[in-house]
Amino acid sequence: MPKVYNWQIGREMEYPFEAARPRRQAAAVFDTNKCIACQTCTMACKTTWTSGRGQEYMFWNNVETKPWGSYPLAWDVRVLEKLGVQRWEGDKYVGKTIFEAAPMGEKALGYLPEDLDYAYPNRGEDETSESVTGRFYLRLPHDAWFFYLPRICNHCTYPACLAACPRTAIYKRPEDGIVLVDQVRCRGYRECIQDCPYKKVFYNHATRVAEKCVLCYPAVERGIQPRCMRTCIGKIRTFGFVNTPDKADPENPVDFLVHVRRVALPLLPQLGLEPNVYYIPPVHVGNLAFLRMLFGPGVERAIAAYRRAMAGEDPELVGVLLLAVSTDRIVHKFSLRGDHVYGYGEDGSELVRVPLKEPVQLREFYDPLVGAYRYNIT
Amino acid sequence: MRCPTCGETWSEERAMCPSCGAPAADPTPVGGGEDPPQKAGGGAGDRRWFLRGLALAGVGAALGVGGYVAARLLTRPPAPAPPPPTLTPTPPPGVVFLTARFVPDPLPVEDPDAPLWDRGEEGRFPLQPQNVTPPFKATPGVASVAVRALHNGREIAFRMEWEDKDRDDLTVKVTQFRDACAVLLGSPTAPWVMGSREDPVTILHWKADWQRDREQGFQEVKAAFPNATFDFYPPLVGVPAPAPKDYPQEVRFYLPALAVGNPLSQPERPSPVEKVQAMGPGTVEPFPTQDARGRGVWRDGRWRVVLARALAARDKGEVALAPGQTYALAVAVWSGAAGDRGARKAISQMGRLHLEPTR
Repeated sequence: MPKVYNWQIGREMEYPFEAARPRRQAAAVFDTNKCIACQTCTMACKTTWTSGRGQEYMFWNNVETKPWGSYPLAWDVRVLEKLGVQRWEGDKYVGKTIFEAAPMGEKALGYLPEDLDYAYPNRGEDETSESVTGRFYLRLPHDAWFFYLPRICNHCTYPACLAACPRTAIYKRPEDGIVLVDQVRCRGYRECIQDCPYKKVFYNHATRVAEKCVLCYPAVERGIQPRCMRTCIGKIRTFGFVNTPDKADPENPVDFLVHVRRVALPLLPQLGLEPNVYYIPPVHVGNLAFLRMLFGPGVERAIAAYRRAMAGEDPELVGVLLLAVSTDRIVHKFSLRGDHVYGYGEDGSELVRVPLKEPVQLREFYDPLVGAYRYNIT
Repeated sequence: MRCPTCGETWSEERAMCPSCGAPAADPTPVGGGEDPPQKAGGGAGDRRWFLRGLALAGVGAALGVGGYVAARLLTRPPAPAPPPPTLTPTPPPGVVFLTARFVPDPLPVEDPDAPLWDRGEEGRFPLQPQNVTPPFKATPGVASVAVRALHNGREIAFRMEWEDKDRDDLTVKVTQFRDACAVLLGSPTAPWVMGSREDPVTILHWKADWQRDREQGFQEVKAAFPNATFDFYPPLVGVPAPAPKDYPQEVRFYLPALAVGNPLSQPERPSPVEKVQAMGPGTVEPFPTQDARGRGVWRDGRWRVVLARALAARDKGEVALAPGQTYALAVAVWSGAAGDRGARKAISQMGRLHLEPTR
């Protein structure tokens, strides 16, 4: 099997195909600290792409509550259990990826979910890590915790779905790294559904072939962000293009978050797919071991960087986070000048400017014009 | 040596019959009891020494055989009886030859139970794991498949018969896979498995779910989830929504694979048999002309399936067949309950198909 370099696990690994990185890689950063699980992203995606017959159960975008939530049922626990106990040594993963742990005659280690596994998309919603008993009420932050994990297809650099397809009906676009299922070529074998550890390839009951998140490629081709990103009312999503660490561009918002400040981390990097959706880990979670399992060894560093920014010590990081969902266009570069952060398009034109601090207008408590007191004066 | 009990013969070094386990008697010399050949110029002295040696050998053999029999009686279970003779012996592993008999009649392409099938000779293809190209099928659930072939000078039909206790003809749920079978036809030089770019093969692929679609209408959500409800499928307003085959053309893109023409997703099924081309593993492509026919019947844990096509090639790259000629032939069987699909199948070795000349 060919060897490819996966920077997220800090080493070469086995993959069924030679490395072929796209010319640029579409990527996103989700700030879990700001997600409120309103599911607006979920519904934006659902109404855009999966409202058809046979797609009833499909959520290309879903938001689940961690630690207990999952869609499909226990997708993460099941693949981690199959993989068994594995080890990191510093920033290098010395355990086995799902490609290296593949059984004889298989492309990757996986399992095929059953239909019932998809029947509870809100399983574990808002459930805390442990029950909240009397003593917790007296302390802030609470010892019990939970957080929301919004999930879409990761458009991995080394997709397991692509590796699994015996017909090469799944392809990764060289122009933007978006991973797509060829709807003409697919013959419904469901090998991709079995091998994608994130379970983000779905079987259409009515067309009997596989379908998955297309990252709204018709929009991305026109320089517009995907639907789930630009409808995010919590403004948690930064969309753009990510480079490898050696080619990181500090003016690129995604590169800045992932490589420069290293505040955004991949989901389950130990599986070896080099996923391209990155997460700012939740800062209030008491169980760091759980976060390290989900996001890898960079969790403490990321949380420290985020806390520094929230304490006002890193206006640049605050600026990049404020650019999230501030425009429908894809922001390629940013700069911080004075008390504004600027977002630029691919051609260098200014797309948006956002103040680091919203201007505050104070109004008089009493409005003599209508002879009434105002409830809201800011 | 020849066994005094069952008549089996075997080589000299064994002291017991490999067939029935009886102890060896006196060796029967080649030539039916004649004296052994003598050296030229041999005299009476030689003969005497020979007889002495023979006597000694006889005593030794008797002692040895006696000891062996005693030891065997003390330690071994009684010898198993030889297997009864069978009328359809399992053929030795290797190339299976199948002759497609000529019949001057229309072929029973939709009736696997037609009496005409008795005119075809049966070839039994042992099936083996698919461990050539991943994903593997390590343990095939079907040991062998019986194949008969008939042709009438215009069309050729195969009848495949195998045991499968589950009838799997629905592929709506994520974990539902179909029963299926296939006949691969290629030039005598076509490589095993699935042909090559230089030597493409033509495959007839019968699918149990396609046959159910054909007989009961296209199976979709309601077939697997009878109690499923939905408000409406935009932009189609109203309940019940039209079946996929009745979707207006302008909203067919809500069934993406159907809209782009994927044969798996088409609600109209003219035939349960798909005619495809392969140029190696993972290269299956349907031919533009889909004229293969067939039908399967599942009864008492057994599938009987007919797959038929015209002898002449309709499309570029299709393997044409002619009476009097010999071709490469292989078969494969998928068991849906075992999760078989695509490369996960039980396959035969490459056999040979001979078409009887027309009369």
